[in-house]
Amino acid sequence: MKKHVILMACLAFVMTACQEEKLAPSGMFDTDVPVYDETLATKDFDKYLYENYVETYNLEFLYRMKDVGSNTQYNLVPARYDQSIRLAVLTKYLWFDVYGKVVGPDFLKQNGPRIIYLVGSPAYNPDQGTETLGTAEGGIKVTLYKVNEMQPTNIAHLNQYYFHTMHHEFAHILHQKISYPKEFNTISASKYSPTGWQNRTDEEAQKMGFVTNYASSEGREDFVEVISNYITETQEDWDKMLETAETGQVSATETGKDIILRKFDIAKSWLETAWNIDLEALRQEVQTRQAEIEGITKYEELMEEAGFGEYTYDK
Amino acid sequence: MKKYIYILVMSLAVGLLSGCEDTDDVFGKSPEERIQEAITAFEQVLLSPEYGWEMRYFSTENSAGYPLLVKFYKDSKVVVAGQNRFTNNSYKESESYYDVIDGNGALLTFETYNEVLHAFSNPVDPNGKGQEGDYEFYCDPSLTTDNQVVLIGKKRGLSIVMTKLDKKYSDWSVYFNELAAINKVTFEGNAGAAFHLKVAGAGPYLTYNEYQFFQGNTAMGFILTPSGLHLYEGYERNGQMAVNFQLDNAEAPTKFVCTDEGVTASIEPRYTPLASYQMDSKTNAIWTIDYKTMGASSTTAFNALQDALKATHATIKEVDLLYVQSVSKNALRFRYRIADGTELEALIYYDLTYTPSKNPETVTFTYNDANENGLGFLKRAGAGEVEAGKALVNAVFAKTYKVECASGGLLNPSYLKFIATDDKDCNFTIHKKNF
Repeated sequence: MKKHVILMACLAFVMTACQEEKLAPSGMFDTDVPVYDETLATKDFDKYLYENYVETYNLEFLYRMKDVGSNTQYNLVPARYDQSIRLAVLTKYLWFDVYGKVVGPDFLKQNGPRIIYLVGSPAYNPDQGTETLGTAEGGIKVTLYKVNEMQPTNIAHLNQYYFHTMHHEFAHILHQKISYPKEFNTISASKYSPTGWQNRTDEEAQKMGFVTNYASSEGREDFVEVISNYITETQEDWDKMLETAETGQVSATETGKDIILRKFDIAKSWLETAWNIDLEALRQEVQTRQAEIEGITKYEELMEEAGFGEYTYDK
Repeated sequence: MKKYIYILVMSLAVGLLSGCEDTDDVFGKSPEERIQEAITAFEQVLLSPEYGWEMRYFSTENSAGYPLLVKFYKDSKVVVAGQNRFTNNSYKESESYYDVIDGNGALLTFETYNEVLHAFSNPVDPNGKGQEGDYEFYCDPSLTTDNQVVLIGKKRGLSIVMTKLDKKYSDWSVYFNELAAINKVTFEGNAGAAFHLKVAGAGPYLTYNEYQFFQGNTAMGFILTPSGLHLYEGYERNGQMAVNFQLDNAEAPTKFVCTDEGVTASIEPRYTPLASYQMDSKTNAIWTIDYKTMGASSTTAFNALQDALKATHATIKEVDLLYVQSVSKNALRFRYRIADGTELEALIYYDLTYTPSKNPETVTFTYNDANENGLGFLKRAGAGEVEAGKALVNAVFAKTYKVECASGGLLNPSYLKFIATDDKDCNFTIHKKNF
């Protein structure tokens, strides 16, 4: 085993030491020449991804899984082709175009992830009894798992496994570029549990001043969970969460709700000042679009407009 | 394992050569040119068969092997077909997309989900493992011939043999029909059966389960194809390595015979057909008696019972032998329908004795007349029916039978024939109904 580690370490060193990478001035991908292959059976989808992601948002939407691009500690399988199409269409509508409309078309081109990478299966963590929903690597790549089980008109499901994850990971990317106020990490400093968060229920965590149990793992996760939950949850669900939090007395003067709202104010203010993002407007746009998708007709329209009507439902 | 190390070392070499632009050009071509040539050559091989490939797929060294049929197209489409427990034993085709890429060597990758192939790689909750099969493969050029290519799994390093399909398999369902036929006369419904692997005259006793032989707790994975049985790792004894086997008779096989040059080996049933039917195994197995093909003496007794039942508008639907776990007894079961359409069953318990006990050729049935058990069902119809029932039971059970294959071969008899030693006209056949 030691030999394997050493070999792979050498390989990694050799391959990185001799390269000198330069990003194109306009972004990571060359948009002067279409990069999709006209001879492939997937050319229609590849063209859609080129026009709607590479050209528009300077982002590569990778649905063809190369295991070398995955976390090799997991056993993973690729995404289904039809599910990839559905997720590409929904991601554009529920995530990218929201920022395009509310913040401006160049915002994601400059600050968004460069790669969205789809994986068909879950990523199980057997030692912890958890599964990883998504990862953001160095502000460049967002990996989404469990794509083969996606339910395209079930917003609760879409948020749980994909769009909450995307907003969560994108918030990581933003704070990796401009740090959020250090004050945030001090609010619940004594209550974070990086290895034991999964032993808390959401309800228990909310009473302690966290929006979810995962938020109680560490400060930066807490910060992005506040943002991603506020954007994707309905007002009714957000209020219900605060009601639960209010029943927890965290200190002599503050309940869980007070703590969460304090964190929320910091996050909202930081988005405004650091990024010129109106969190309320962003949320309103997301909520409007989510409600439309749940009506099914909009989903069918989006698939038709994108040219993939035949992939709207399983055959 | 050697192959795995080889791949790692080659990966390192390719990384060294391709990562640095000022590497000496010791091969006459740049690393980029050579890897592109390797990719193109691999693609050409994959696209070459007109009717596709037979892929002998194994997830791990000791796991069951399953044949898959694969056809690659130039536009990156790939079609994979299978008929196994992951497809609910029905024929299934799945279309997805592949590529051959530079993955520290020419690497075939099935990069969108294929329901047939990736069933062997899906992680399963909660341990995240599943079957742990590969779906990215290098090619072993040293084993590639005009008709065959050997893929090496990237993660596990397993050898996956792909052979060009013959024209007779242009319709893939023909292949799987042949596979079903060979499965039927060998392993279908045969879980738990005992076999004897003989190499150079001797070898281990094995127990079969789902394309694996077990020697104690040690599993030996194999694959069954229309051309025969292939052990993944082979079995070596006295310098003879046995890997590939064929049936000695396609219709009624008695054993698998090794086809490897210079190797004398076979895989044979360990027991006679009667023992292989596991009638004393105390399982939930059921053996149906084909009462319409019984011998003259047995038929006479059976018809008497049927006639008596007709008078009460009851009809016999099925006659079985089975082991009743709730009372730990063997039983003859009549399933019958009464006048109002209700289906009922009657159990008549019996004992059986094998001679000899371990590898029998004869069996003796005994019935205790004092214990009427299921005959009670006849009492509602009258004493005449009870007498007819008793006559049938005595005709069937107060006998010693010689048992032989009625159809199928010794490897997996589909019907067994019981012939009374004192009356050849007293005979009946049984087949496995539910295992």
